Order: sequence, then C-alpha cells, then structure tokens
Amino acid sequence: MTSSNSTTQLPVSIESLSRQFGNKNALNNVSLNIQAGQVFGIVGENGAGKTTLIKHLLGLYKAQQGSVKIFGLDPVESPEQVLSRIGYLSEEPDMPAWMTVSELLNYTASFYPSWDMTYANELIDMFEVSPNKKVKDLSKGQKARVGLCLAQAHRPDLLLLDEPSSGLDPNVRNDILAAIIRTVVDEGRTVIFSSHLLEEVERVSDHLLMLSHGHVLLSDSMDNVLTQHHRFVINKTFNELTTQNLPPIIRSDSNGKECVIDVFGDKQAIEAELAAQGSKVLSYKSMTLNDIFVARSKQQHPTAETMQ
Amino acid sequence: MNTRMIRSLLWEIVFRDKLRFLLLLAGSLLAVTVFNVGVDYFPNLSEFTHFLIGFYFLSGLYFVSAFSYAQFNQQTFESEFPAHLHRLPLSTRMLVALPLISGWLFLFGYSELWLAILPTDEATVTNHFSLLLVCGIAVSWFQSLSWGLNRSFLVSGPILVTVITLTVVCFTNTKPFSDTLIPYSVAYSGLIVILIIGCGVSYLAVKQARQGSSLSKKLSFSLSRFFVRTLTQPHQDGLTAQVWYESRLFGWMLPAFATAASIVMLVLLINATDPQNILQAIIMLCFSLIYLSGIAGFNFARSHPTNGDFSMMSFWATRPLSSVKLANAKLLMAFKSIVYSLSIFIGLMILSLLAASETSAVNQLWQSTINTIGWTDAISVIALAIILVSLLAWITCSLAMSVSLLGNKKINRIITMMFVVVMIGVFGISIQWNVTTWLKPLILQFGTVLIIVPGISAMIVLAVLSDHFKSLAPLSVLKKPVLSIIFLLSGLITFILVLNLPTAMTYLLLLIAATLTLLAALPLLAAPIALAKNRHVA
Repeated sequence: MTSSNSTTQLPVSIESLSRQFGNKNALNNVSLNIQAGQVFGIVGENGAGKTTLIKHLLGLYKAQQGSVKIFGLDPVESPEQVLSRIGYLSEEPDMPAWMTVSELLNYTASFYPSWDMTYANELIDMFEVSPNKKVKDLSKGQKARVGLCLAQAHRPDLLLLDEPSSGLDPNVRNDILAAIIRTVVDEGRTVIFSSHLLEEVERVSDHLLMLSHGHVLLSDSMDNVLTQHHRFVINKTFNELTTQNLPPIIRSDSNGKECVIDVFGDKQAIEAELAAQGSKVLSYKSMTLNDIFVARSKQQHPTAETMQ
Repeated sequence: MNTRMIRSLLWEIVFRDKLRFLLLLAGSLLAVTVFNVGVDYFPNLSEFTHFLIGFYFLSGLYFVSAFSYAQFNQQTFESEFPAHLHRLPLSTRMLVALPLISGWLFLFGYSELWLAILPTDEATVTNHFSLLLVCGIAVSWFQSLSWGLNRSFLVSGPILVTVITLTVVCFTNTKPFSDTLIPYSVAYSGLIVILIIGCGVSYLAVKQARQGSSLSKKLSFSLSRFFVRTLTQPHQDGLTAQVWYESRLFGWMLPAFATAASIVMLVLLINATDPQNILQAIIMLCFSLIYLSGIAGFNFARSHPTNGDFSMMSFWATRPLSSVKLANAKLLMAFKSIVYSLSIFIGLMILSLLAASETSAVNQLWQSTINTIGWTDAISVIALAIILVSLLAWITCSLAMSVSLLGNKKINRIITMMFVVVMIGVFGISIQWNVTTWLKPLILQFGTVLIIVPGISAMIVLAVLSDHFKSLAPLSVLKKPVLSIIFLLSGLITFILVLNLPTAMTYLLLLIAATLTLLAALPLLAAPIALAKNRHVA
C-alpha cells in the first residue's frame, strides 16, 4: 500500500496554506509539520478553521495558496493514494442511510485492501451497535460510533477525527475514543483530532494546534504548552513592567495595584526577571488548557508567533 | 461565476478530446462517403444516408449534452464537492464515443440485416427504419427523463412499451385496422402485465436484497454479485461495490428481461403467421434493448454518490476513488450491458423463432376468449388502462427530471398538475372519437406533449434558477425573452403538428429534432448557473 519513498515522508506537511471563502479568511498562512506517531490536537473557536484545515488534508479543498502534502503527496492530485491511508470521521458522519451496519462494513471494506473485518466487528460489538440495524435507524451517537469504526477498521496511517466527541456520549468519549487513539499511536500511526472539548484534547494529545480566525495562535507539544504557560499575580501595574526582558506576555489585567500576567516561557527565568525588576509575585498558577485557550484567544500583546 | 471551473470544463470538453473528436468526425464523413458510394450497389441505402447523418449528429448532440448535464449535475448541487473529483473524467471521450460507435455498429448491422431479410422497396425500408429510429429515441428520451430516481426508471418501462406498441399498431400495420386492433390490444394488455410483474419482481428483489435476511436476500445478492463480478474487473473491489450499489442492477436488468419477454409475446401472439413481421418486431426489440441498456449505462455514468438533495456525501468523498476510475468502471459496465442485452435478445429471438409455429393456437385462444366475453367496450377499457399507465409513468418521469434538474419539489407539483391537465384533456378529446380512429390522434397528442413538456420544463428551470441566483444578471435580463421564445416555439411546433401535419414522417422527424434539441439545450442553460453556484471550491 505504501511505497518506501512515501513511507519516509511526514504524515502531514503544510506550507503557507491560505484559504478564503468570499471575503472571509478561513485559513491564513498556516504552516505545520506533523510527525508520525503523534496525536495532534486542533482546538479553536467555531469558525476558527479547524474543519477547513482537515478538508484540505483530505483533498476536499484545493489549496488556494501554499501547499498540502500527505505522506509527501498532494491529496488533490493523488486522491487514491492519499485517501487509502486516511481514516476520517466527520462531525456528523453521513453514511448511506439505506444500508444496514453490516452491509456498510462490507461495502466500505471493498475500498481498502487493508481492511480488518475482525477488528471492525470487534469495534461494532464494543460499541454495542446492532449490525442488522439500518443506518437511518441509528441514533446520532450510534452513527458516530459506526463512523469511528469505519474510519478505523482499515488501520489507516493517518486518522482524522473532526469533532468526534460531538456525537459520542461521555462513556465512549472518555474510555473508548481515548483507547482507540492510544492504540493507533502505539502502532506508530498518526491521529489528528479536532475538538472544542479542551479537557479531552489535553488528555489525549501529544501536540497542540490552536487556531483562531484562520491564524495559528499556538503550535507546540502538549507538555510544552502546559509547562510553559504561567499565570502570575504581581504587585505592579503592567505599565511599570519592563516587558522587553520578559518572555512573551500573552495577556495582562491590571487593577491599579496588582497585575495578572499570563506568560509563555521558563518559569524560573520569569520569576528571576520579575524579581530583578522589583516585582513581588503575590500568587502563581499553572495554567490549564482552558486558561491558555481563553488567554490566547483574547491575546492583547503581539506575541502570536508560531512556536514550533 | 467560477471562471476557473468554466475554463477547466471547456478545456476538458473542447481541447483534451479534440483529436478524438476530429477522428470521430473524419470517421463519420468517411462512413457517409462509403454509404454514398455504396448506393450504386445498394440502391436501398440512399435514403438511409440522410437518416444516418441526422442520427449521427443528433446522437452526438444528445450524448454530449447528456454528458455535460451529468457533469454539471455533479458539480451543481454541492458547494463542497471534493476538489479531487472536480476534474472531468478522462472518460469523456468514452462517454461520447462508445454509444456512437455502438450505434454505428448497430445501424450498419441492422441495415444489412434488414436488406437481407426484407428485400422490399425503398420507401418501405425508409419508413420502417425511421420508425425504429423514433422508437429508440423515444426510449432514450423517456429513460433520460428518469435520471435521478431509480424507481421511476422501473416505472418508465411501460411507457417505453406504450410508445413502441402504439407506433407499431399505427404505422406498420398493413392489414385493415379493425382486424388487428383486438389482438393487438389483447397482446398489449398481456405485455403490460408481464412488464409490471417484471418491474415489481425487480423492485422486490432490490428491496429484499437491502432489507431482508431471508433466502431471497442471499439469492438476489449472489445473483447480482455474479453479474457485477462478471461485468467488472475482478481487482476493482471498491469500484465493483460502488457500481453495484449505484447501478441497482436489478433495476434495469429485470425490466429488460420483462420488456424482451413481453415484446416477444406480442410478436408471437399477433404475427406468428408472418415470419417477416416476427423478424421486424424482433429487430425493433433489439433496437430498443440496446437503447435501454445504453441509457442504463448513462444512468450509471451520471449518478454519483449523493444524498437526496444531490449533495456529495463525505462518506464517498473521502473514499480512495477518483472520478476517472469511477467513470471508467461505469462506462465499461454500460458497454458490457449492451453486450448482455444483445445476448438476451439473441436468446429470446431463438426461442421465439422456435416457438413461432406453436403460437397460432394461442392467438386463436385469445381471440375466442374475447369473443366469448362479447364486451365491445373492452378495447376502450384496455386503451384507458394503457393511458393511465402511461400517465403514471410520465408523471413519475417528469418528477424525476425536475428533481434531478433542480432538486426542487415545488416544481414537481407544477409539472404534475400540467401533465394531469394535459393528459385529461387529451383523453377527454380522444374518448369522443370512434375507437378505431382515436388512437392515431392520441399519438399525435402524445407527441405534442413530448414537445411541449421540455419547453415548459426549460421555462421553469430558467425561471427558477435565475430567480435563485440573482447574481447572474445577464441571465435574469434574458429570462423573459428566452421564456417567450421557448414558449412561442413550443406553441408553433404544436400548431404545426396538430393542424398541419403533412405526413407521419415529417411529424416523426420534427419530434426527434425538437426533443433532442431541447434536451441538448437544457443542460447548456443550466451549466453556467450550476458552475456559478459552485464557487467555494477549486
């Protein structure tokens, strides 16, 4: 299925990708490389460009500017080679409604030489979906489970999950989805996973991409994201700080006596610099992904560099 | 307007295949020349030449427009159509060339066969040939109307037989009309019954195959897989499944069987004593089946995995399948379906010839049954049943056409109402006449409807589309004059046909020309709008 040449290629390589819908910038100069074996989480508010990015990866959209390569291939130019290595679950999976689940499995299997029917049946059993039930009679959650099974059963090299949690109940989300993702990654394959549930992304992702209005706000490993974002409360106003000597300040909030600053950088170095400037740290908090997302989305200071 | 899309489409249609189009054109000119030279040796061919030229041109127009329509349909109804399926399939040339080549082969074969078995005068040959031609084109027309709804594809079977049979009755009958009307009608009613049974069986087979877990499911799946595996390349598993699910194999295969069987029955019942008529009807059957299978092939080629609203489903959009391979697989299957139809025809022909000597007794039995009943109005009732079946099929077909053009159910109601009114009017007028004379006017009326309807449809399409897409200012400006012209032309043609009908032949040729021209015009009207809507992609 895979040539030796393309196997060595990055699962995803995007260079300066831009996309406009009318006057709206859906994606603006997005560049990223995704290594094999990663769980790559994409977060962003509604309309941030998550689904548009994923559709470019699938070849459903052609890049207006820049380039998209999947395993070294352009997904629009070589759809068969690329799509045969991708498993995709959309937010609301649309499947042929008149087929039964087992017919759908058989049908989908015919597109993939690597389809593992035993595994597919195991997943269907695990998801407790009746194989004789028609797709149109399935609930939203059941459709999502079947969609997840279809995306997974050919053991794709790249699994794209676009808001998979929206249709899944908490049990499936917490246990099964995470387990599947870990299994995929343990086998050296790659998962790209978009969600608005930040706790979920924080739990399963190795790497985080944060999008806002088509711009990349942040792209870094999850460990770095969580360990390098800090919230300090200091006894100075923001204007009294010499910010040039500090790592990038993402957001600040002063009340006249104290200032809350969200900073991206090494904690000890920040503390040392604050001390050097005569600032006393009144309190410190390690930021959660939710804090980081809110801070980055409302970013006041021009530090929106892509940290990669 | 998505100028990039238009450019790419034009490039694909005009330039990529220009060499093959030129070759095809040269081939056709050569063929015509050969025909003209051959006239010295085969005087009966002289009249054929004109028909062949016209047929070739109109067929080309038809199939190109059919292809264009199919492609535009694919690209119209979904703003998120996958970029990788945007490019037109390489099989454009196949789509255009295959039916033309098969049509050519058939015409050559047919004319040779005709001349060999029916050494009759030139006028008769021309007449009969024209009738077969119009039958085939009528089949094409009806089948093309049924694009988009597979169920209506089944329902449209009766109307095909209606057209063929009425044409046979009215124009090829050499005996006094009253002498043959009873056996024709009896045969026709039997034929309709068989056809409906065939369509019903096929529908149930599909239904069972999808729903049930019974033996019938296994049988129907096994049988269909046998056909599909035979028709497609073994290694193309994905394509095989794709084509199978789209083509609804039983949707056309069983009606084809039923049509063949019923027409053979017709032949046996009526013309068993006349070998020439048997052959004539069988040839007609051959012609119809080829068209049927050809159009079934186009049905495959046209359809794309869409939901009811004609939008591309991500399920298919994200499968490892390019439009090129998909189209090629479909076309291969369509081409092979023609071969299959021919094999069915040949088998049935042999059977009917073998059985011909036994059927005079059957014919007598039917006639004695009618005489025993002694109900003189039976013919009127049968005719009424025929009209109702035709009406049903016609309405269903028109619904399919409007849905496939617009995906707009409001249009269905308008067209349905129009057909109901028109057909009731036709029937009301016809019923006032003597039963032995109203069949011919009915055909004229029916033909009139055939011409008016595309005109009205074009008007509706244009009106709705230009209202929906107000950004298309030039089209909106043109809307009223274009509508007026279409309406006036439709009325003019109707007037000529109804009141000043010079000859049956003129009427038939007008019918062909008007139908095909309008058929060709519709997709061209819809194309820019279709493309304009699709501005988010590519």
